[in-house]
Amino acid sequence: MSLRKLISIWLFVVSVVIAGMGFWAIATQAQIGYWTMAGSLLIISLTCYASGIHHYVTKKNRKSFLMLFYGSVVLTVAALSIYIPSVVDLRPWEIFARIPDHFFFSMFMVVIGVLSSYLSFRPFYDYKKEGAQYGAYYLLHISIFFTLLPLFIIIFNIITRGMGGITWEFLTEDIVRMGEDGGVYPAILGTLAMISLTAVIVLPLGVGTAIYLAEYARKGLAVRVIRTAVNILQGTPSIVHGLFGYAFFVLIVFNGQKSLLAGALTLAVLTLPIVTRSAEEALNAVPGDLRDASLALGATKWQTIKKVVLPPSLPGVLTGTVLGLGRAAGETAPIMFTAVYFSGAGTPSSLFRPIQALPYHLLSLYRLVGYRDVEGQAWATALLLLIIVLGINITAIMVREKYRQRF
Amino acid sequence: MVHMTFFGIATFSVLIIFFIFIFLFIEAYPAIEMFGTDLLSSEWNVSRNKFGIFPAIYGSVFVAIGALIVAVPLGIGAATYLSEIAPNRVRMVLKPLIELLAGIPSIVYGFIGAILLGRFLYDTFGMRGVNSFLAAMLILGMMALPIIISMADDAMKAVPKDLKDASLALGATKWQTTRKVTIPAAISGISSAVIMGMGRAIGETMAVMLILGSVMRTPVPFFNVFSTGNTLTALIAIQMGESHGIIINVLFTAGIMLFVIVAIMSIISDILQTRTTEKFEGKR
Amino acid sequence: MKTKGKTRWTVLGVFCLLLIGTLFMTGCTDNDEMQEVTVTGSSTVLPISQMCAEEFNKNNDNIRVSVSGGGSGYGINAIIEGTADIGQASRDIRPSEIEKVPNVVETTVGIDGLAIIVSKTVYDQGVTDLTRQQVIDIYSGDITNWNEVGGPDEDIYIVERADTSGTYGSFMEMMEIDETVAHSTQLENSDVKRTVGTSDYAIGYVGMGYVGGKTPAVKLNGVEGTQANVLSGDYPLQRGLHYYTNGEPTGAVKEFIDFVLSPRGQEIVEEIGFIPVDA
Repeated sequence: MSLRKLISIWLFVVSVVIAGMGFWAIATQAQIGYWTMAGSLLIISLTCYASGIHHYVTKKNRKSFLMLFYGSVVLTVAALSIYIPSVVDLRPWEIFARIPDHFFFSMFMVVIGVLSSYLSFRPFYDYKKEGAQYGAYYLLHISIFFTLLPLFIIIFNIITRGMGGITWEFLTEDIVRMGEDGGVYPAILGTLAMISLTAVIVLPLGVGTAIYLAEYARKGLAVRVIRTAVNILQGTPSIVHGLFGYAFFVLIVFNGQKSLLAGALTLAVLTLPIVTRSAEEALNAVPGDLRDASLALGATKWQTIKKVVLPPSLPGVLTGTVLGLGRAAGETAPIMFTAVYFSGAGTPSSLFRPIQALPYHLLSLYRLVGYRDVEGQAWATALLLLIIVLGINITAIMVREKYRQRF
Repeated sequence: MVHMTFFGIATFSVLIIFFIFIFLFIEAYPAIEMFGTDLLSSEWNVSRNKFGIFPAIYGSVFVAIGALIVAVPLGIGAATYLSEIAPNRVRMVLKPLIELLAGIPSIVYGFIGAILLGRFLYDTFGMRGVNSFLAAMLILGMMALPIIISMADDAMKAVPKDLKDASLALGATKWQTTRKVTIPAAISGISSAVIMGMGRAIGETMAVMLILGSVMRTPVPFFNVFSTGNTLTALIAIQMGESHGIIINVLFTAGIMLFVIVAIMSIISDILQTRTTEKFEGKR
Repeated sequence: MKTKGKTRWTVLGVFCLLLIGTLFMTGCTDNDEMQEVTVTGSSTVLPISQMCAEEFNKNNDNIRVSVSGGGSGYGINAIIEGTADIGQASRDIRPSEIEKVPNVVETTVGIDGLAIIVSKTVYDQGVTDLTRQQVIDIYSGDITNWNEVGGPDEDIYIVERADTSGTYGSFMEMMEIDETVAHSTQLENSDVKRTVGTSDYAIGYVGMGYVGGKTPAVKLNGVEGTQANVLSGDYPLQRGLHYYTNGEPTGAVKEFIDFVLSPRGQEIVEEIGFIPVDA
């Protein structure tokens, strides 16, 4: 292994360690001192100089200036940082924040660490185009890492803080003392009843629309309009669905009374595009030969759909519906004005009475955090909600992946 | 006969769109008639009957832009990773994981954001309260990520293999091909992903409501991410359960604006996407 | 293919049965005898109604009381529109509202003093007493730093209630402020308490029942907001907590209101931190 590669590897390792330290310091609010930061940057900068000089000595081409120049930039940053005051006070500009110097120091360590590790691929591959390629790939890996990191932080926090609260009593008892004691039984039942009802309403509508789009009319103005409508519906904010549910279902259909049915109807509108899209995708996955064969045997179009197209696409259709229900189970905004009451709603007893639902119960508990002793219950409710919603989603996704490679 | 039945069912979606617009408009009309363009002013004071929702509009746009600044570089990076360099086995794991990220209910994001992230930023930046635009932007960025990733990934996957092969055959590296061929070819799909992500950020309610502080004032100076504010969605969610009379009509006006903004975004994104499919359909 | 298709349909059948089963399961507890009482409105009164309803529901099998929040105005409006049986309010009904429900009946279920709370940090550093004028100046933006009222050199973080709430209304009325410069608007008393509690330099106002812990109340004009001071009228900020009904309460509604006014109900009122009516 040549000296050039050794220096590059050293640069990479050191940069990654320094970036990691900086990131850790930001996350834990550790107070990085000026000399820690300057020292780290000095190591990076010296390594860059070494790499540049080595390249200049052995190759004598202008590529080496990259590393020399970059090393100087790092050095300048380290030197100029001494002028950062211990607290950067933004209040003279009416911005109410004070950024401490150690935040800047940690930030420099992260940014320069990532940049240097990215650049270290250049000398390693002798400034050929592979260097740029692997450097870029390295950055892409970092971006996928930072995409998944929040997922793990969220799930980790909810599990560790919510675990203790999930007991048999929590699952089976009524809400007592505004959620301080007891459990969330009515809310669980309410959520389950509501999404079941939603499924019953949305399934025929969504699948019917999908059959029309996929089987009867594949082109033309009507299809274009319907497809655009489905897309708009899918993008519509959930709070707008809530407003619509309130204005139409609650005020006009049910005379101003919140109810289980009004909530389920609103959620059906919300899930309709999801069900339609995945059902259409499932129907389209059935090969055209099957249809042609059936039609050639003299079956009518409807018979073909019923006997040939629907059966194999059924798992796909159902998983789409279940995915939609997973979304519906976690939504708060659409049911806020249409279906839920905080307490006393009890277990759902009629289609025309308000209910309690888990997401709204979590909101109510959050409101009481700090006033009543409900934080433990709130985390447990969040965990339970997460288990239900992600459980539904994982089941649906697994079934879908299993059936996807059938044709 | 059967055909007409299914056509009837299919028109439901179109009908619902019209219904949403009509019923929102019926409820909003008294406010529009009474206040007219005053609704777009920036003064909100219930006791003086001033209902200017400009601060909420500004807040919605500001938060969405901030969320995009967080989400777009990460999202496109992650999508490029997934579609171009991830080995098939990794991809099979990561894609569903990212879908799960999209499945986490927004109230849970809001709860976490308000309790953990808000406190974290408060401690780090010495702010005065835990509510801020910054926290909302970070959380919304997180929430917009999955949709951007999966749509951008689909767009890049849709680029025909011939194009890439041609580039590779000419001696370009895989990365050069990705940068100079795949991404430019998929650019309309990627922009449509970004627009949908922005739509999601603008339409997000519960998380923003718990994190942003719901003050009806435009931040001063206008880029002040440490201040509190309000968005159209949070305004509706907070005030709806508490109000009656003309305020309800004002809130429905806000709802219409939201609906129209997001619908326009959906249509643009839809057009961009169709363009991508049409571009490649002949070559596949 | 044929048998496979059949299993698919069975799957669908089972799925539908499951759904219908769930609905029946929830439907079978339906009881025609069940009388229903809905209570809605002010979030200050909300804890009273909730705690009372919980206990009342436990003891009465054929009556169910459902409670939901909203503002005082929302509660009174629900009486006007007939969407609830009882409207709870933390302010008096306005003449303009009485016009819409001429035979409204007011039942006072508790008395509350409006407390000014500050963050514990500020309280510990010397802000334990504010004059009425100082509170007014803080909320209208003339005082922006705690050192102007004897505290640390830190900016004041002002928390207020949403302008649709009764507490907001009473506060603005009692303080005679026209417009505030709040930094955070919160929906409910508990939200204000949490916001003030999580910040280090905040001020807010809540019902007396919400004082304590990380959010101590300051004296107003040197008077502490105790039960005795509120009742004697020494403490300047006080109000009644009311139940409004359209016409004299009858049947199940009357039974519930009677329970709230009963010794046990008033015990709950006091336990939550408000003052019982007959004290």
